[in-house]
Amino acid sequence: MQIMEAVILAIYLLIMTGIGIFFAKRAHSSEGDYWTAGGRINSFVGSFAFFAAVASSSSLMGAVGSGVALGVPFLLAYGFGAVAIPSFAMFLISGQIRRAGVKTLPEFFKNRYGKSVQITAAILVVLSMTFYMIPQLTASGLIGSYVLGIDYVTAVIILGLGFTLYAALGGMWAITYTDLLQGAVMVIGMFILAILILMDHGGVGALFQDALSVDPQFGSITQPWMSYFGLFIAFLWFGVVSPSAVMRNFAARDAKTARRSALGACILYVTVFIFGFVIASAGASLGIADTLENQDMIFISVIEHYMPALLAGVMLAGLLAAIMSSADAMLLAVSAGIAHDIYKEHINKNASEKTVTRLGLIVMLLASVVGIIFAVDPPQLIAVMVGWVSGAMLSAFGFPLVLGLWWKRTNTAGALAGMIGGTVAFVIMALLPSALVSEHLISAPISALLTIVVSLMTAPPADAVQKEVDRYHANIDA
Amino acid sequence: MRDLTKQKWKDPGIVMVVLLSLISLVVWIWWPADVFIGGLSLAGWLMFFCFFIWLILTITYVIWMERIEKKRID
Repeated sequence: MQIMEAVILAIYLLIMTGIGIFFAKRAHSSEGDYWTAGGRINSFVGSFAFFAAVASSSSLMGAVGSGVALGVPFLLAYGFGAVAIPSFAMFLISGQIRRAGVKTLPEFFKNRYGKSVQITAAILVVLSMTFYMIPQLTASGLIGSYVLGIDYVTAVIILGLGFTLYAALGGMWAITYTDLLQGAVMVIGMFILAILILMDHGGVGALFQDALSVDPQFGSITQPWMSYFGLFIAFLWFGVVSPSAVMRNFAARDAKTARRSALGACILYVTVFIFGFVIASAGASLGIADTLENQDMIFISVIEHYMPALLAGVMLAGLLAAIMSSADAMLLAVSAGIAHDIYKEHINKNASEKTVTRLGLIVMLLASVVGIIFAVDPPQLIAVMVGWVSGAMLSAFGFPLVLGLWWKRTNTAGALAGMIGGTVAFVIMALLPSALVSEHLISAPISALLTIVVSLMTAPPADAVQKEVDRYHANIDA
Repeated sequence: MRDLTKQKWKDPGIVMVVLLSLISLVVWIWWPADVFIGGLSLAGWLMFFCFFIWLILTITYVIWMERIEKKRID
C-alpha cells in the first residue's frame, strides 16, 4: 500500500463527497436542478465542467497507454479528434439544440420525431452509457489497486459503488461544481508532471530521442490507416452524440456562456494532449510497457517514477477525479434515460419529482453494477473501448440528430431506420474481424443513408414539425 | 424557404464544419506515414499542428457569433 498516496486520495474523496452533500439539498429541490443544474452555470465553471465530463480517464490514462503501446501517432490521432470535440459539437448542434429547449437527447427525439424514436433512443443511451462505464471502472480499478494495495477486482467494486453514491447524492449541481476542481487538478497535475519529466530528460527533443532509443517504433504509424481515421471520427463526433456532453450544454446560463465554455474546454484539451505527448514519451523511455499486465498502467508508472510521493498522491487523485466526473455524468445520463425519458414520459405521467429522482438513483446503482461485472475482465485497452462506445453512439444517434436539426424533411421512419439500422450494422461490424476502432466507418454511413432514403420514401413530417425545425435556425438568442 | 436554406449554408457553424472537414481531409488523403521529421512520422506532426488549427477555428467562431449578436442588438 502507498501510504502517502492513499491518505491524499482519501482526503480528496472526502472533500468531493462533502461538496456532493452540500449541493444535494439544492439538487433535489427541482427536477431541472437535478438534471441540468438549473441552467445557471457560468463560462469559467462551464469550461472545466465540459472538459472534465468529456475528458474521461481515457483522455489521460487511455491516450498515454495507447501512445506507448501502439506508437505516439495513435495518441496524436486521438487528440486530432478529441481537441475538436467541444468545437465540433458547438458548430454543428449546440445553438439549435438549445433553441429546441429540451433537457435530454431522447427528449429532443420525442419533440422532433415522436414517442417511438424517443423510447428507442432512451434504450440505446442507457446501453451505450452503461458500456461506457467499463473503461472508467477499469481505470479506477487500476489506480485503486495500486494505491491501496488491494486486488484489482475489489478496487473496481469499491470505487464503482463510491461513484454511484456520490452522483446519486447531488445530481448535476454537485457534478458540475466538483468538475471545476477535478478539471483544474487534472490540468495542473499533468503540467507539473510534464515539467518534471522535461527537467529530468533535458527538454522535449532529448526526451523523444530517449523514447526512440528504447522503442524505435515509438514515432511510427504502426496500425492500418483505418484505425487512425476511425479513432479520429469517433472522437470528433463524441461531443455531438454523447448524451453526457449534450447535457453539459444545457447547464450553461445562455448561448454566449455555452460558446465560451466550449472554447475554454478546447484550450484545456490542447493543453492536456501536449502534456500527454510528454508523458507518453516518458512512459516509452522507461522501457517497462511490455512487462505490465495492463498497458494502461503506464501512466501510473510514469507518475510514480517522476513525482515525489506527495505530488503523486495529488496526481492520482486528479486522475481518479477525471474518471469520477465522467462516470458520474454517464450515470446521470443512464438514470435520466430511464427515470425521466421512459418512466415519467410513458409509464407514469403523474409521478412526483421525488419518485422520479429516487428511481433515477436505483437505475444508477444497477448501471454501475453491470459496469463493474464487465470491468472485472476488461476486453481491450481503455482508448479502444472508448472508441467503440463513441463509434456505436455515432452509428445510432449521429445522423438522426444532426439531420433532424438541419433537414426538416427528416421524418420519424427515417430516424428510426437510421438509429436501428446503424446500431445493428455496428454490432455486425464489431463481430467481424476488422482494424481497431474502424467499425463505425461502415455503420455510420449506413445510418446516414437509411435516414435519408427512408425519409424521402415516406411522407414528410407535419407542417408544425417543419416550422419548428426552421425555428432552430431563427436568429434568436437561446 | 430558399432564403432559409441559403441562410443555413452561411451559418458560422456550418462554415466552420466545412473548414474543419477540408483541413482534416488534406491530412487523411496525404497521410505521409513514411516521412520522418525528428523521429516522428510527418502524419503525426500534421495531426499535432491541427490541435492549434482547431483552436483558431473555435476562437474565430466565438468572436463571429458574438459580433452577429451585437449587430442584432444595435
